[in-house]
Amino acid sequence: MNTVDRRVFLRLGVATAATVGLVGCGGGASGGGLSSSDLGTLVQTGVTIGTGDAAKGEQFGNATSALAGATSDVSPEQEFLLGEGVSVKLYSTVGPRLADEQLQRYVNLVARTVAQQSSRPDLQFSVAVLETETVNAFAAPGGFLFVTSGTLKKLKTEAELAAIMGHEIAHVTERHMIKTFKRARLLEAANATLAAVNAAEHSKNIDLGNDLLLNRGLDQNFEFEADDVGLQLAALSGYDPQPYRNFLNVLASDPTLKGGFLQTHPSATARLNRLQALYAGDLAGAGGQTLADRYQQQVLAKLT
Amino acid sequence: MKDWIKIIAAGLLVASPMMLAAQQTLYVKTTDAELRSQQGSGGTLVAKVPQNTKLTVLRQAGLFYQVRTADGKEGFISKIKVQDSSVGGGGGGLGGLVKDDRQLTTMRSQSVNRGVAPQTQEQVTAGLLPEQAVAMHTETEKLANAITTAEVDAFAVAGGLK
Repeated sequence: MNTVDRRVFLRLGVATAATVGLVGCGGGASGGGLSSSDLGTLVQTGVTIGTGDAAKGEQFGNATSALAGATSDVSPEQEFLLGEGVSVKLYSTVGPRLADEQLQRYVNLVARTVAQQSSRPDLQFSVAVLETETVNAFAAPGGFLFVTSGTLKKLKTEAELAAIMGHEIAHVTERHMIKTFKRARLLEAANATLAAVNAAEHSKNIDLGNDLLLNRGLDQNFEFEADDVGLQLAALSGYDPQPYRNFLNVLASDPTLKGGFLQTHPSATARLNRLQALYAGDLAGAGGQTLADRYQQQVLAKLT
Repeated sequence: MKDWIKIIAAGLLVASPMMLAAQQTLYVKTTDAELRSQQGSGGTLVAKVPQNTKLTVLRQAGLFYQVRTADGKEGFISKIKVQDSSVGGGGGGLGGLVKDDRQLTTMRSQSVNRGVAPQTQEQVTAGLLPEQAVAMHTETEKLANAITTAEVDAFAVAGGLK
């Protein structure tokens, strides 16, 4: 696909996304799906946590814990279909797939290396590098991962990429999006949708999944957990966990970064603060490889 | 005499967390988790322990626990691969994942040859998802599906990770 094609495609994608978004927010007209009140609950909760209301935050934490054991009734078909739909849409809403198979393969090898240490070693993960300057990374249920070329340009080492992949893998292994659906009592609809092949309801679930990834973000507790688990996965894989701290510091000090990553994740400063205990404790003296040269050769030399 | 009291008190302070840790019980939450003689991938393989194996924690060691199995085998296991209760016991929430993940991976592999699921294809037919996005998704899945475990291992070795 040439540059002009890509621009046309992106415009088409955004227009399609806007249309789908309207359909998705239309609520219960088709019955049994994502109602406006359900979505309102979800949004309200996100705002509550975001404002740092301690009491409500604790309440949410308890709710999250209670849900930790409540995902086993989600079938592999449901997880796969939700993930596939959300993934396909991301190519049109975020950016096209970068046309460099060697680079794509390299990023997949890093992710698969890290995933071998995860709590779901039987799940195959895939990664797509999306061509956009936006700094962000995503994970859809079922093991579909994404990272933008804008993010890759901000990194200096393979160790940073490994930690980012670990973060996204953790979202999948801990089933954060599915827990969010369940928490908002949306999965009853999702269950019916995915099993009954109801196209309208499936579309709403895809919209909600994309909205969580691109606009609202997952709950901050899930993001902190993904940082924690992801960094452990990278370290267990043999990567030096320290460069990830450098990456978060770059994010925290970059005045040009707006939206994207910062819109859907807690502040880099808050994330650094939360990781202090891990760095000072279990990761103290962890060592490992940074692989700056390999990253330079495989990624930076091609993107800059 | 006072010095002896101080020494005993200090000894208790040091020993008490270890005594608490020694009473902790954990369960394997993944398939074929490895018990190794040292932390990390170094050392020798002591045993492969299946899901739900009950482990007694001897001590914490960075990203690992040193544990003992019911039949007396001791080794180190990654903290990520254990949880507080047995799978299906309500504490970890990962019940069924072992079987499900194999199914899910099979579905993903099949989609490389058969294309996206009918439900997703309906979205394309209805004009809600672009055909080009499906094509890109398929390219990603094909690439990922073609990467073997041996290639991942070789990549890690080349980088000095293993």
